[in-house]
Amino acid sequence: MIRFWIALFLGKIIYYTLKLFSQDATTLPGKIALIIDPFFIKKISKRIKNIILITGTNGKTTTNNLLFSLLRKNNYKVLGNLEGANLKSGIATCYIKNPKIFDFATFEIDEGIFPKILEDISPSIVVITNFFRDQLDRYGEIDITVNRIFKALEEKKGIKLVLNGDDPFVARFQALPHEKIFYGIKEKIRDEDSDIKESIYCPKCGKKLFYEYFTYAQLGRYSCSCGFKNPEYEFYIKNINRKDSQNFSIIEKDTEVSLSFKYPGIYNLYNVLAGYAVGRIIGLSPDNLRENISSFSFFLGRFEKFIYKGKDKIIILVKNPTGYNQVLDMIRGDPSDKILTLILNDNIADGRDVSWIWDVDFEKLKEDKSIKKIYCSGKRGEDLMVRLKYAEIPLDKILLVKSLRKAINLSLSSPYKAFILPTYTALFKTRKLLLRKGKNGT
Amino acid sequence: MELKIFHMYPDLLNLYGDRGNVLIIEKRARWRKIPVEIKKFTKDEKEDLEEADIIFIGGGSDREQEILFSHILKFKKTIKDLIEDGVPLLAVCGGYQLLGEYYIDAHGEKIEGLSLLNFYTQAEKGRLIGNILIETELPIYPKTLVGFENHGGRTYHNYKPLGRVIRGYGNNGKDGYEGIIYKNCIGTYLHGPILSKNPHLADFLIKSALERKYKREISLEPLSDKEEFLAHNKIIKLLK
Repeated sequence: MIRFWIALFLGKIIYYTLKLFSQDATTLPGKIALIIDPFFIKKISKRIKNIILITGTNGKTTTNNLLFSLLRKNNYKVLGNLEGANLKSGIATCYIKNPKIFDFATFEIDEGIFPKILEDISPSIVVITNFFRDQLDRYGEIDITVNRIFKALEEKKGIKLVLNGDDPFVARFQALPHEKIFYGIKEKIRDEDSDIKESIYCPKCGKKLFYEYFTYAQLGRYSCSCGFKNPEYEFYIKNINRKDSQNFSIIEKDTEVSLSFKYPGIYNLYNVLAGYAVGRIIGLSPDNLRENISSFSFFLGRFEKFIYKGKDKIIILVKNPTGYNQVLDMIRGDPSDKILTLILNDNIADGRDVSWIWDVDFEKLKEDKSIKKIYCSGKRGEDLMVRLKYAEIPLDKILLVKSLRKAINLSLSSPYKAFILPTYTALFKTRKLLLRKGKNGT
Repeated sequence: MELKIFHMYPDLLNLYGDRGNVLIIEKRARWRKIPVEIKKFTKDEKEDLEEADIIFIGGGSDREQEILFSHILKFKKTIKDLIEDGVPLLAVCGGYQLLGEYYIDAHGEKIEGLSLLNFYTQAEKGRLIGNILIETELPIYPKTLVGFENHGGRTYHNYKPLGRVIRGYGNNGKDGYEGIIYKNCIGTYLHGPILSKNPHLADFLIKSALERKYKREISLEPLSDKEEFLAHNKIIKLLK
């Protein structure tokens, strides 16, 4: 146990030192603690009664933040890695910041390290959101990731699985013996679909899946001649307002609840559903959930709004083509005059290979006259510029701004609304630069 | 003049943004007023592959490569004839490995390739990942090619390589070479997509295709490649 206390103590010192110099303190304290005591997470997890893990490619941070806030509003003591530091070091840091007794912990876990985390943590609920192409250079292809998570879960009993039934990859988890709760969207919401689909082949037999409709990417209502299809939903969304997708109802057996959610985008409907399902499972009432979901407001970098000289400056984290495409759709739906600031880094947490930007449909912005300027910044701003050139966005609209500070200053001084889209490692610095000048509007 | 580009199995071989290569060839031809037709060659449709002026093959996951293998095998002779006739073919990563005789996976299992060229690939411990800089033997300028490699398989062959490795791993991390060239068929591990940061290689493919099709020497109208070479030089700088 002595190792544990040294790890905790040193972790704390590092945490407060970093804070003192206002540095990012979301991973380093945990990294050091884990070097001193590799079983640090395992030991400290015993202090928490119920642990909920959220994994998958997209939607982890939103679902996690939502769930955290739903529990908090009901006066539970909750611990969570809300800033999206979802590797082992991030989880350990989270504990170091708050080594107390908690009713709940909600952790988002990187899908690549999920099997490793399961060795240390015994969750009562696991949420799996979806599987898309994301930072492949670290983990190899999706199939491998899915199989590893499947095997890791197979060996752990007594977990309730909350699963997105609209993703054929996630539906593979039907085969597990655990208690499973599926959720999905039971309605056609769009007419055509041009996004890339990771796999439209049946995970069971390899034949092409038949889709009645797509909600986004490979999610939708699918079936195969071998019998593979969307599992029966226990929670599903219907009656979506097609204009903004922010008003809809969730149905559970005979109960229909009308809800609204502040953040647009189809992907957020799935996040709300996952949060709602978990809320119901742990005993929160539909009314309680409706109220708290409607009033939910984001914490960090996911549609975070700052106001500068009366204009909105909005940060949205981007990290893979599916999420990026959704963000571009949302931007395209906004009629106001605007500028975009795209920031691309290639550090490990961003994915060192930046070629994924070629799977983002920047072509969508080609004809958009409300976009006045696009600044490209970050370590790999040059790559963004080439991508936009081949999307045939007029070259006089595109400007390479190597310094992030300068790019943010330009975004602030622009007389237009600004959408600032950083990858993960650029997020913290972007926020800090904005916080210094803009007024936080959320 | 016009060009027909065949994109092989775009719905299955679609990893790492490599579909960008097709887009880049298309745009660079169109910007020069050369009409382009993109043919998506898939498992369900039977396109006339014989008409191809340029062929692109990307990489997919093991499962996806398995799904299409029996299908592509039926077109082996057609592809072989096209290569012999000098049709430019660009194959990246998994697509590159597919050109060879076989692939030995991490469990020691032998997976059959198309045997269009006589070489093999085998999985060895550790993935070779990172930015890469090579010096090519192709008649293009500049001589440098850059990209991002990410492969567990090591490829061994006695053909002409696409280039000599200056920074990075290349075919197998041992012999100092990257990729393969046979006539106008190019295999490589470079992502990026490769043509996005190497417009001179894209133009080489377009020029070779036109010269084969129209049986005369062709000089392409120069384009401004300012942005592309900023990205090209950025990789060189990152690797210094």
